[in-house]
Amino acid sequence: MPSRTHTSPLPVVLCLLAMQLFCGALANAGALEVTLVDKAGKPVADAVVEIVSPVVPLPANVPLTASMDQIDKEFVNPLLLVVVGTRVSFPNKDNIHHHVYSFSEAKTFELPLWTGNNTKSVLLDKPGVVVVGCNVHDWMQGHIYVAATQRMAKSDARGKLLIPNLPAGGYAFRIWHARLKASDISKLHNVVIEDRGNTAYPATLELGRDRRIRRAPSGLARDY
Amino acid sequence: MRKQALLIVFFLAPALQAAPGAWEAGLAATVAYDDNLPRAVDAANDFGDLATDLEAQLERVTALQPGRWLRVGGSLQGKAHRDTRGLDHLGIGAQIGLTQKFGLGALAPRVSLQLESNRLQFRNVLRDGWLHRARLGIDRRTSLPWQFGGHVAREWRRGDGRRADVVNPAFGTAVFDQNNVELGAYAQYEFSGGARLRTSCRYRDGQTDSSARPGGVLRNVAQAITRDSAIGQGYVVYRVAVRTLGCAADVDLPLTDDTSMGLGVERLESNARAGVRYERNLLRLQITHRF
Repeated sequence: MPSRTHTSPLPVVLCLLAMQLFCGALANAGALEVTLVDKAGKPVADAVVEIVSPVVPLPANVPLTASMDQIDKEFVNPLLLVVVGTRVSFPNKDNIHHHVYSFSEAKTFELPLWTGNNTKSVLLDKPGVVVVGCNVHDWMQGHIYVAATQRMAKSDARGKLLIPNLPAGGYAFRIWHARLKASDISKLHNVVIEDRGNTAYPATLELGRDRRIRRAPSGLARDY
Repeated sequence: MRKQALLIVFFLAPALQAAPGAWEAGLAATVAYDDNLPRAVDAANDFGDLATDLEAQLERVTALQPGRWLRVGGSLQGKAHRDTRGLDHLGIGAQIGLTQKFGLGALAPRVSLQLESNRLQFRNVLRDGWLHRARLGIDRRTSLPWQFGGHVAREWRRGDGRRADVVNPAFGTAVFDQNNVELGAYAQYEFSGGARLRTSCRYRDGQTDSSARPGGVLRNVAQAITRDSAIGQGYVVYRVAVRTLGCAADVDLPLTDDTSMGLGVERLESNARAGVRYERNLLRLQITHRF
């Protein structure tokens, strides 16, 4: 007697229910739209907003590898956003040596003198900001923002960023920028996200001076 | 000498090419005014002149290990004066330098040792000769804007020595055989836009050449004398032992990532024996480009 396969309708029903809940949730989700300007009213690019409350666990499919290339003696993407647990590699696309390092509390490491695709990567296992430099070319500087959550974004040239898919409710977030004072970075910003559309949050940042080592050469002239 | 130089280049160039490293090239164009070109001690003999200087440098920079670099290269220089054409010259040089950085990052101090040898060929052949330098320098950035440094240098200049030009055979041909020791220090501030302001001082003990018409006080302190047709008709050049103190201020502005423009002034006061002294004021404008 041939056997019959019986399929229970329960998983199908559960699946449909889940889809409905998901779509419903998205239908009730809003977005946080932050616009950042400095005291002079100019847009602030390369600032990061991370939602720190409520905390949601990282989804299983979050990418845990990233890279920060070096081309023409510069970090190509000098502000990289990753989540805790990401392995970051530093491929050297120049045909000269680079020597990437960081003294940061979030990660201290050193990748001395390599050319080409270095297979070594660095595991960023603590949240925070990792400032990376090159010991050969002092002007090279990059920042890796290591977030505890995936709910983060960086501002574009217009000073705007968007964190989508936020269920309606109250949120607290932090703003980080390389030239922002530590007291301003630790400050929590509160916002109530509406159930649809973008909730606007304008902020004015008091940035410090742009202190970086210049790349342009000094005069070749010796004693004259 | 020329054969030895060619042999060095022949063997060194492939070795450097094979070593992992980078070529660095730079070009500097300078317009400079010297208000006392002959280094004269009295108003009757001194005059100023404007000069244009073009220098190209090519170096192979090899990282020997983390924080240690070897630089080997060459330079080509040409200088032309507006009026004093006899001092126009071409120079070709070779340099080797070792830099050690103690620690990681921009604030780590670094020590560099540089040796260089230059051949100078003047329009007026009197000053033709060799110039060798050894320089030990230390640079330390104490914060992103502030940097300090110092150096000690030894310089040897050897003239070709043309007996036909000697005024008084008793003095020999050694006017352009000069040795100098120099100590220097600087403080530099870098503004947030990249402009640099540097003040520096140097103390130099050794010999120099000072030109004047015959009959002045220089003869009393001269170690050697030669007729100086490069500076002007009727001039003679004296080798004099002097101690020089120079203080300079320079502003350097980045024009692009690889180009900068500098403006600098320096005042030099030199003292010889028996109260003989002279002063020079230098002004320069320089454009530097790195390829």
